[in-house]
Amino acid sequence: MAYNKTDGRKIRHIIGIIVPIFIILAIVFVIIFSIMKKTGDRGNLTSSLNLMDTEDFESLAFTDAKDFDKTLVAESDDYELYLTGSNLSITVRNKKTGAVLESTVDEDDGKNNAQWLGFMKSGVALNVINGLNDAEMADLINNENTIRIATVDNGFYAKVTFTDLGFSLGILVRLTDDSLVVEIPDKSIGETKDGLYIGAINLFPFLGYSYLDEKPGYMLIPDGNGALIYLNNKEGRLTGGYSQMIYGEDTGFKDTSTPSLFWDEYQTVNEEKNILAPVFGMVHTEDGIGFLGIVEKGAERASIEAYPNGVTMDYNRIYPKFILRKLYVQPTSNSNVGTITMAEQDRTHMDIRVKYCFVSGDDADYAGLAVRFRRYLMEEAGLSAREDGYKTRIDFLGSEREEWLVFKKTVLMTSVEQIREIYNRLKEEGLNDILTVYKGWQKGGLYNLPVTKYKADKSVGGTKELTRLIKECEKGGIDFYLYHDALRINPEENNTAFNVVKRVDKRLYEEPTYMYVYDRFLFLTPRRSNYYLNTLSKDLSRAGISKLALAGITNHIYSYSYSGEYYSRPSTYEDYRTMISNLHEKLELTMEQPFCYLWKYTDSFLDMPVGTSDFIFEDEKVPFLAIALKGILPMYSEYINFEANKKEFFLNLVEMGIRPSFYITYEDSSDLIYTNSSDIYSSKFSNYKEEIIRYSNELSKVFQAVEGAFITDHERLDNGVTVVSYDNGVKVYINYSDTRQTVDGITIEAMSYKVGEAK
Amino acid sequence: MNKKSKGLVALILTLFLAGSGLDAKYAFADAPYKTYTIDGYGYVTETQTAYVPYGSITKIGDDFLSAPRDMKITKDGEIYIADTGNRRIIVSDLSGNYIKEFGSDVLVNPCGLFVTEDKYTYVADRDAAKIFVFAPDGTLVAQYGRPNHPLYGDNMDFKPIKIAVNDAGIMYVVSEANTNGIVQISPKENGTFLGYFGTNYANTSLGEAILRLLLTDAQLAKMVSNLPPSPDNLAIDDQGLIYTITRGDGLDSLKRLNIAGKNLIEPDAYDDYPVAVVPGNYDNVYMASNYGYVYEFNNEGELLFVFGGRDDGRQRIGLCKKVEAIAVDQSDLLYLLDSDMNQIHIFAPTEFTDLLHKALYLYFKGRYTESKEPLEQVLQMNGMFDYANEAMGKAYLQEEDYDMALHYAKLAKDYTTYSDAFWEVRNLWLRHNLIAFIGILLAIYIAVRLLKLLQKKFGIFNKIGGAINKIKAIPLISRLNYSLYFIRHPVDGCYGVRWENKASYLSANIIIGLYLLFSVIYRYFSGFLVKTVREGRYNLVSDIGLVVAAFLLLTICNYLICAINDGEGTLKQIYSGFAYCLTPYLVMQPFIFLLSHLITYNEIFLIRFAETFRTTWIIILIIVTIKEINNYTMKETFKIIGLTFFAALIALLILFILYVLWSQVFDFIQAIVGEVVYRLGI
Repeated sequence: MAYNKTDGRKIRHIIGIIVPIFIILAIVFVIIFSIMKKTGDRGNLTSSLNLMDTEDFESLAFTDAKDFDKTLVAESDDYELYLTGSNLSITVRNKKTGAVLESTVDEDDGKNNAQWLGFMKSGVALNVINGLNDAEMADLINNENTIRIATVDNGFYAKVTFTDLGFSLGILVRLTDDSLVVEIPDKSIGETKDGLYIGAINLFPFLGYSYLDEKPGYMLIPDGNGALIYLNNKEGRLTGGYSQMIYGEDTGFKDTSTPSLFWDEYQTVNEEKNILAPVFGMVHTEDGIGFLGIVEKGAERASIEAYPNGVTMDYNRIYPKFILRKLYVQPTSNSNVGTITMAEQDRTHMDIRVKYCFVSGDDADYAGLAVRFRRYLMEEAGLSAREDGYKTRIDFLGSEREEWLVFKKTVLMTSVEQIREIYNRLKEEGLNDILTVYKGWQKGGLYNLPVTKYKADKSVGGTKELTRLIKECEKGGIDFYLYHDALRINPEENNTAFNVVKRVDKRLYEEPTYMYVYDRFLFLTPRRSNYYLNTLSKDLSRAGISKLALAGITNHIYSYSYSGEYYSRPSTYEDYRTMISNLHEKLELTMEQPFCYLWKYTDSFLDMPVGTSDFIFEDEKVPFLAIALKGILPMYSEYINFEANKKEFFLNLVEMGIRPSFYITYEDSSDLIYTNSSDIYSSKFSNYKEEIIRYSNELSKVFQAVEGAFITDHERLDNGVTVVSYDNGVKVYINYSDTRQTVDGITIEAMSYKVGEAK
Repeated sequence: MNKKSKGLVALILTLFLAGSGLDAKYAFADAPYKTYTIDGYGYVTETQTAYVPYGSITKIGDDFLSAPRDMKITKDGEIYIADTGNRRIIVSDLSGNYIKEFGSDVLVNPCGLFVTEDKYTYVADRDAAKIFVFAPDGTLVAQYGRPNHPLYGDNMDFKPIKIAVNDAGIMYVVSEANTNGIVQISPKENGTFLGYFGTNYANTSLGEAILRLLLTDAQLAKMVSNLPPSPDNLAIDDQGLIYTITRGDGLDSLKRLNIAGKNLIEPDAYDDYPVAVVPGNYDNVYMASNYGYVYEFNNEGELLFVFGGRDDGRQRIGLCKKVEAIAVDQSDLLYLLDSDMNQIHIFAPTEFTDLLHKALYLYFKGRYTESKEPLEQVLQMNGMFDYANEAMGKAYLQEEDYDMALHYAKLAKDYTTYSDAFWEVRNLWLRHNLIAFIGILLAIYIAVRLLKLLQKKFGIFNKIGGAINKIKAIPLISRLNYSLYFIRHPVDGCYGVRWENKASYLSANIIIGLYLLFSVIYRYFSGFLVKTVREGRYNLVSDIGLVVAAFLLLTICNYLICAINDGEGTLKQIYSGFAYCLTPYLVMQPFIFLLSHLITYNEIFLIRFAETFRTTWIIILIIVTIKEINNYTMKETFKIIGLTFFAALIALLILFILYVLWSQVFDFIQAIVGEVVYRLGI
């Protein structure tokens, strides 16, 4: 035999030695190599935000701040701007009425400690991160600082340096016709000491303040559709105020609060509503002066702070707070037993700009603020008056998935043929003006995310059938959009090894669904979302389809880390904005609850909130966004299916000019009980047909009367009647009380409405 | 690193950490909290908002409340509040306007109060250890102290914290830490003690029971005595029935007691920390928990809604910090007294809830047909609201529309109604088709006899018979056939398995495979009344895996034990022997399966009996198999069985230890690889 046993043994011995040696060497090489290579680059962020005009502020003529003591530094037709330089206190005065808005407190009521005293007397206050402590505050009274001021056209530029903290920043304040523009350019911000960082900048925190109930009026917060906090004496009842990030909380930072769970399992509290537009307002109704603050730049990482009297101080104040750096907890081991607190490596580089638009006299109320906001959107944010005929939104759910033995079973809810049938049935009743978002059309059902190509599920009829339906809808005047959640990816159906977002602490971000079939979703990186959006839009264009309903990226921005790099919110914001603006050139888009910077790219606003988050300190809900957007952006409500108080909701729609939305399936919603959509407990078309027709008939009449008109005023009378006035002379009266009321000679039944004639 | 390992490493790297909570996408957040109900399976599901925050009363007139502990609302809309921190009773109207106050001259720590129909206020003052009675104008008319009746108990203090009074003026008092129950005091003769009422039961755990048997009296006396929990709060309804709530008593937390002290309600949900209870206007009951959750039960104790939430600093309306009392007014508004926020939260029912209440009311008054209309509307708004489905099913049953009743009972998982309706449906079917049914049976019988006759005379089936015999001769088939013989003659069968090669691995595996198939089919597709698995939930892997694993484990352990105990069986014989023992399952299951679709609760004993019979048969077969294959005596067989179980236990233990050790190793490797990859900058 050529091969004998001893040979074999020898060979086995040799292999048995060499192979392990190889493996060990390989591991050693890898380790050495990796240690030598640079560890993850946490470099600068991609920030392609427009920087300000490159005016070189250093070359201006600076004088000492003490030279300015209630000095008039700027004047427009209606307003004057005064400055006291030592604490950067500005005062705005209306020349015609003499009404005044101050920004610092001269004499306090004696109840405040040194820190808050400094806060209320400074034009700008900072939250400081000192090593690992982020509770320190710095202001112009308590901390050593030098202020150099140079006057410019219509205003001044102040260079503030906190000498012992090593901070410097430059504030440019200019007065235009009826507004005040305050800017802090990013290049002017400096942190010179190691370990001392600016955490946040509170900009003119006391501008427009009032003490207890000295000045009747209210503060407007952008909660939901809008809410007011009255400037009355709260008698110390409140312990907290409003403090929310604009454009939603940053999911990149782990929520440090542990929610208390019902029966240890259920999160019973609904999340607060996102701030959709970066606005805030303060109105002194008796003095007849107020302002609407619009955060034009820096809104991506800012919060709106509104505190009524009794919360820490007896002053009512509302202001924006810009976050530059945060502390976070970095777990150091797999099991999260070891953690260290760290500060973000670099501060967020973004320019800051806030525009305070003044209102006076009759316009000094929330309706006036909303009208002013509308003017701003039309003049400066790229929106314009849009044809806003009435349409009913009827969304359909195509197919879903449920568990079955080994694989997942398709649950067909509404096929293309059934949609056609529904449209025909509605047409018979005279209902033709429909906007539809078709959800769950894609292969794999509603939650097979992301959608990368135009391929419909076989159960709903297949791609060709869907294309045919869409073409028919185009001819028939129905706006038919395909739904696409561009943000999420389903880890059970797709490979999520790459291109998914990790939080700032480098842990994977998982969004729990609390549902049975798919229990979590991950987020795609913006680059990946963009890639998929492009492939999808190419497919759609090839098929001749031009309408897409976008969700996910329209109302989420966050900080994240990926591949060792760290990206902050402004970069995600910019990525999504560019993505969507490019898409806007190829397709007609509609969006699910989009943020303000996307409004100019969308045909309509879906899921407009009608209410607010119901905070204790909110004294009144006002339809601020609805008043501002009526006439420039068609709005559709959230689904009526799940509304428990339908009569009141219907009246809300009439009041705010919001169109109704229904979520419809052809089959019974109980078929969804074992799917991820088991929270849709009522959606069968035959149950809703009557209601859809009734809503459409009534609301279309109301909308016809006010088509193309803007809302000019909105008043709530004591008898429970709300009067909405339009610029074409029409007034709509809505009676929320349970007795008949008469207003302006018009009688309105209880829980009903009347459209007044145009005059 | 190349792409493949990058992927692998990244895969390993996906660590799980929960992100921030997300509310269900479609639930309309017109209230800061969600509303839940319990579906037919007993699972918690979300539903439309049942009660919306309506407002709050933060001060009465110009006065603030201070740690108020109790509240009652009279039928004419007056709120009586025990303003404990201010040591008085304050009365306001439903909008928070001040009406009057009294008691500040005598009250020390008023914890509970009750207002009778004619506006007499009874106040339970804990630190004064008295019940004070105030006339409608606020003057003190009576006071009752600790009863000095011998039955009261010498060591029992009198610390009244809550009180209810029935129409006859008898006072039911909850005395703090009095575990004997509720103190009943009659107003006669300045307060006569009538006895204890509504005592709770002490729960004995298994450990305690064993200890009781083992320890001596002296040792038992030193142990902590096992006392029942004392009720924490109580309420009384129009009919004089008393509701009590007890903390920590599980499903007995809420009780409705009649005059004899018998509990009339069995709620299907409970809270760990209930604080107050109040009967509603529709024969329903509201229970409030300390954290601000409100439960609404119908009068049979089925949970209709639970909603509310805890204010963790979120400052949203309707979220509470520390609830002490709950009350309902005539227009169905709910009032929650929050002693931490010193205010009263008010909730209003939504249209959805109003419909449900209307339906409830009609149903319980026996107007079943009328109750269907609001029920239909409720179902239109929420097709999965199982309580409505259940009520619909019952309504149809009363109307004798059995098919509809069946449909709704199935949706609501209401087994009793389903059973009743099915009985009726089956009855009708039988009545219509009995004749035809019997006719068919007769026809089949005659046909079979005829065929047998023909076969005898002319042998028409000879060819087929021959073919069947040929098939039967194939070894595999003959072995499978042998299993049928085996179960009827186990001793003989075992002989065949040992010496006549009547069993093989293949036939055994086929039988086990069939067993798994039948059991899966039965588990997921059996009749509605018998099915134990929730519909839509499939867990094939664990079902099959468990059975296979258990079978293999026990067989191998048995073989090992037998091998060292002079057993004569080989592994093949034991394995196939056990497999054959499962054959009764194959034989009987199809019939049980069929039966499960045809029976009602009246006949369910048939299935239970059949299952017991089958299981006993299998057990007997197994015992005989072990005995015969290994040639043991009976005593030895039982010893072997005991040892087998013991061995299986040890085997499981070893596997568990191995698993724990391996997972540690795996974690370690994972951590190292993670470090390496991180350094590489992936």
